[in-house]
Amino acid sequence: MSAPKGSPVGRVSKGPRDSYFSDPAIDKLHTMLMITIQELAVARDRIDSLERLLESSAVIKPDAVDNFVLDEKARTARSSRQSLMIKRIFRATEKEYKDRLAPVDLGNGVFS
Amino acid sequence: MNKPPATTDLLSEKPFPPLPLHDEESRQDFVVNLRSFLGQDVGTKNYEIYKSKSEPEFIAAEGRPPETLEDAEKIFTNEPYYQFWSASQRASQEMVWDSVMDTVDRTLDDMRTLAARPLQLGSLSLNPEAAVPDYHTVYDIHLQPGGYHTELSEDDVAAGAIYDLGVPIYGRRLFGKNNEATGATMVNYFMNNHPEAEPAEILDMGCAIGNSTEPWARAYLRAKVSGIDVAAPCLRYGHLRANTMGAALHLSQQNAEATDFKDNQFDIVASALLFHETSVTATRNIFRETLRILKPGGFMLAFDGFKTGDTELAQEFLGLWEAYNNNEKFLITLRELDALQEVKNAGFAAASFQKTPFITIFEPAKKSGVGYMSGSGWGDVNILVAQKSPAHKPKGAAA
Repeated sequence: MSAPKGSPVGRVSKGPRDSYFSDPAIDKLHTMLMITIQELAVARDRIDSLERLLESSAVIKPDAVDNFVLDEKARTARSSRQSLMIKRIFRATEKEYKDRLAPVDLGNGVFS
Repeated sequence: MNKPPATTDLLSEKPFPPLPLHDEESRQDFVVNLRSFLGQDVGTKNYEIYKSKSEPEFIAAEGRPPETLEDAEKIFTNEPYYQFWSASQRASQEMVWDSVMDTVDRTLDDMRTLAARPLQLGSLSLNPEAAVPDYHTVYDIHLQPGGYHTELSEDDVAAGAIYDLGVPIYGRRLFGKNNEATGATMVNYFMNNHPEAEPAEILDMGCAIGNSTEPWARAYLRAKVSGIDVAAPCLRYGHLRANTMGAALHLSQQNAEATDFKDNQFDIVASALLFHETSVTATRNIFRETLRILKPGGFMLAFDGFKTGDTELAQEFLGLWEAYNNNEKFLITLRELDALQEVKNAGFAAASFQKTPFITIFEPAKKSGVGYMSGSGWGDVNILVAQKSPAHKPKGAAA
């Protein structure tokens, strides 16, 4: 029992991490954005839990949210909402996908 | 003498596996949803773009079709849609571990305390002198920080706990309630094809936390079931985990390339996702060692990413995404090996790939000393099945 509380190994894995985009800064911004979205989902879930708790009781204890147990119905509702959120954010790639398959008509000549 | 605590006493002390707090669970759920979306809605479009656009463009520019993995890599990594998907997939894999490490960090002391208690079922044998092979230490497999093996105290269980909580997030909670899908798939195959078998000793090589080992104990109630791995923190955690599940597993810290088991000891030697985390030399050594410790007529079963037939170049490259991006580089080389020939070279009498359903729901019921199970899953997988000749004689033995 000599190790300090909490972990130990840190959060970065050993090994290569390729750059996926032409500029490595984009990789970092992209990852930061993904985590930001995740934190937004966490915040939204916390509000959701509070709403559910408030609905069922007028008084909440300080640790009520931390100890709140999700039932399957609530989990399903949350999953659907998260999936919609993910889909919304990934619209950035939907356009790229469509434009790649069918290049955008720039309308050259249409307005002359 | 104090009687070791019963499983129920252990569980009444602390929840196990550790439960996430509200925000931890929310982060974990998010990663499950994110990975489902990336896999189903985004990832599948890479192939479509390749076929309709980037492959024809390559042919037009180069005057030949793409032929090698290097060609495919060049095409895909220059494709903006693939870049975005791939970067997202990589980030999601990092988020898998990050999302569960909060829970592990917070509960680690409780788990170390539980694991240090004398436990009733099975056994644990660690070897502090055992070297962790360089194919595990060169980088962290699956990007799990610290890999399977890193331990910062002599009673560390963190790597096992991170793995146990992380695998279901990685697998979108489709790997079975107890992460048993790989083991259950092999058990299911074996029970259906050898209904008469009554194995006395079964070994799971590269067992990690015993999630692929436990289904064997659940299915064959009279068998002695052992598991080996090079990672002590996973085995410590696995011993505790098995006790909370009521499974008697005999776990020991050993490299599958050279074990201390006797010749002709096991009826079955199984492995789940072991080989792609080793090397060419190790793979050959493990095949030979497996032959040595199997009884004549015994079976080797291996669930792994062996090449079992021709795969179209683009599909092969996309299928190797984890090899290139998730620190599983040896998978590329493993797929260049003729696994069946290698197994025969090691001295097995017969070897083949067997198509069998991937089992994610595992329902055993006791029936005259043998478990019964049924399952359903995602589709079929190919497992490597080899048998040691019933008339096997070791090299140099008198006829």
